[in-house]
Amino acid sequence: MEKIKINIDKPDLSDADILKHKNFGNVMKAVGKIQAPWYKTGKFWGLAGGGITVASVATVLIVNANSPLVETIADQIPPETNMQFVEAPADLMLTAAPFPSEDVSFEEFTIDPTIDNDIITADSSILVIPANSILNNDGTTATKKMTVRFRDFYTPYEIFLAGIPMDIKDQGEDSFLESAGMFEILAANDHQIDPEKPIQVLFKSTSSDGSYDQYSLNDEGWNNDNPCVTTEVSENNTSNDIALEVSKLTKPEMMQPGDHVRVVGADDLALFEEFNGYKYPSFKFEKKDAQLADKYLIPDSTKIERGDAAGTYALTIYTNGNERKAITTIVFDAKAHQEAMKVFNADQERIAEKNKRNQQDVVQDHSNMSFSSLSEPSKLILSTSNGNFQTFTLTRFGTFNCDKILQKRPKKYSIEFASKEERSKVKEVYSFFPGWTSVETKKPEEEIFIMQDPKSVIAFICEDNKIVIGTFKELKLNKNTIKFPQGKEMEKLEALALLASKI
Amino acid sequence: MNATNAHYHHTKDAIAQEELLIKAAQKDPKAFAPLYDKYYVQIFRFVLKRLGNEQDASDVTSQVFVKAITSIKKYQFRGVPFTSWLHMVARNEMNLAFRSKKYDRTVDVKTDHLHNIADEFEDDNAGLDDERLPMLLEGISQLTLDEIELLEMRYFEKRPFKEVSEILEITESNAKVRMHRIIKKLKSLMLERHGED
Repeated sequence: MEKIKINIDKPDLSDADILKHKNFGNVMKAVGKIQAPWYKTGKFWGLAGGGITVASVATVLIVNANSPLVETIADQIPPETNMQFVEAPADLMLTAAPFPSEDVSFEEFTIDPTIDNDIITADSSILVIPANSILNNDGTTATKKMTVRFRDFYTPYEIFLAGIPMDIKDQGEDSFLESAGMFEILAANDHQIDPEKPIQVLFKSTSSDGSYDQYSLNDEGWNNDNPCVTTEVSENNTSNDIALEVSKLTKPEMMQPGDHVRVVGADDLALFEEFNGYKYPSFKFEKKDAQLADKYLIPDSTKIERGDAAGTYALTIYTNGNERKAITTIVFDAKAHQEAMKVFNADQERIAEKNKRNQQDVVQDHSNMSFSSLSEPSKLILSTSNGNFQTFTLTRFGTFNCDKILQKRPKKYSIEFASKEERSKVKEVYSFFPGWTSVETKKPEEEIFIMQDPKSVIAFICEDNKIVIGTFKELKLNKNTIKFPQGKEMEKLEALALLASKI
Repeated sequence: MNATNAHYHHTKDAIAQEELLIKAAQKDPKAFAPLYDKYYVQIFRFVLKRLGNEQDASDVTSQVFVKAITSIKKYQFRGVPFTSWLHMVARNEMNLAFRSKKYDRTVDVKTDHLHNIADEFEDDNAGLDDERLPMLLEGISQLTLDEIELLEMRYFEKRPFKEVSEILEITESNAKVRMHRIIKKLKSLMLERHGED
């Protein structure tokens, strides 16, 4: 039995004493040490400057359509090319993050541009990059490894943090867009897309409402390119391009006496489609890794990926600063196996029945796009997801939006400041409309849209990273003016947390 | 006994607000700051009660948040509140620390808490006197670590069974059954001891 010390009636430490130990900066430094792979070097970021913060390294699947492989960013070899994301000078930037250090982070994918690639992003959008579709900046076909950077925006908070303008002229009048999802895709070293071989982004939109259009951002603002093109699953499809019916479930294996196992955690279950439907699967470790088959030794930071061999899972376990890797398979104890077999058999019967009726679930192609070369994981995502995929066909990198112009035109108000000094400390004003994925940005001297339903929330960005947030009630609306709220100035992080909770 | 933990009970609005913060932190680790601010004291106390030493608690609490930030992408709200998830991370980290033999397991007990336990014995000698108090402490020291963990969450930290079950990754009814058995075991250990005396 382990040694236990019992303290009786020991006085509690006060909150103030505890708070002396608080240091988020140190925590972030430690996070940086864990997460700092090659691409965090100054060289890599080059011209991207201080504008973008590297966030956590999402585990992503990069799948080659011809030879599926699983890779993580940390495992990748640095590309041979000089990695620089060329961005425009600040005064020509199309977006202007109000706090560059809080800007929405990108995911990074390194690809071989000479082969077909499809990439599944953290939010399940799919980037389809055909072989030899990327050009170097001199117009020749890119042949060296290259990096694509992708980020998406689904909330007004993200749009605000990235500083994306949402205003647009509608029949000559000021209006703004409401988004059903937006993304930005960039390539390193000023690589371009070959217009003859466009890349496709099957973007996971938040709406299948046909009233949304595709917009792209350029230096003149948002351009309405096309109606949104839906990629969807249909039961009665006439397309010849039939997606394979892939069982989501792997055949359950029974646990044997002496196996070294650890129950799959609830969080892990959500990671892989093939775990869905099963209860209590366990990771089975090889004998050499037997000591890792202990849930106490497997912290939450354990990274779980599909292994190279079918049906295997690679666990990267960080314990006491060390990294251990183990290849595992999935097994079930006798009781759970019985239940799992029922689930599996029912799934097999469902597939057999479908094939018999020759009415497979298929990917319906409204965009004349061929899905035949898509990897199995991508097909699986398309055929099993209820998501509203919109197909964007891109001949250039940039920022794209699934948008519609807000029909409701809010009233404009000018802002009253108590003094010139007060006015001079406000740099920008953002108006949010809770429930609507949009934001309006104005200078303090300009008129700003304020809505009564939903009730607007206004963020005033001031000097020295201070923010003033005004709720509808606090704005004291007059006929054509609002009052700058008094005494509400907050530090950046505190204000951002409040803002995130209000919009 | 009314188990209460103010931090655990959230209004719907508070949960919705927290989800936004979590979503932001999943996109960018720096956005974890408001969650760090909100939960730092709570997690520090959770760790301190088990490690006994302020500096050790500070080190391990930092490590808990490092782990939380690096794995927050895996967090999805499926009935387990964020606070319980953070406590699960803290528990894992402490178990690692105990296994490294760098730290001793400490249990922080208040006399009031012991009275609450004694009240559960439902015998004629309910209540603790000077004679029974050491017996109960002796009984607690004979429990397994798992049993002590459940006892301290329920009786010393006054967490509701739902939260206890979430942190320990067991069902609520299992937590109740285990708790019932622990009380029974403690009672029997005390009776044995009483017989010896």
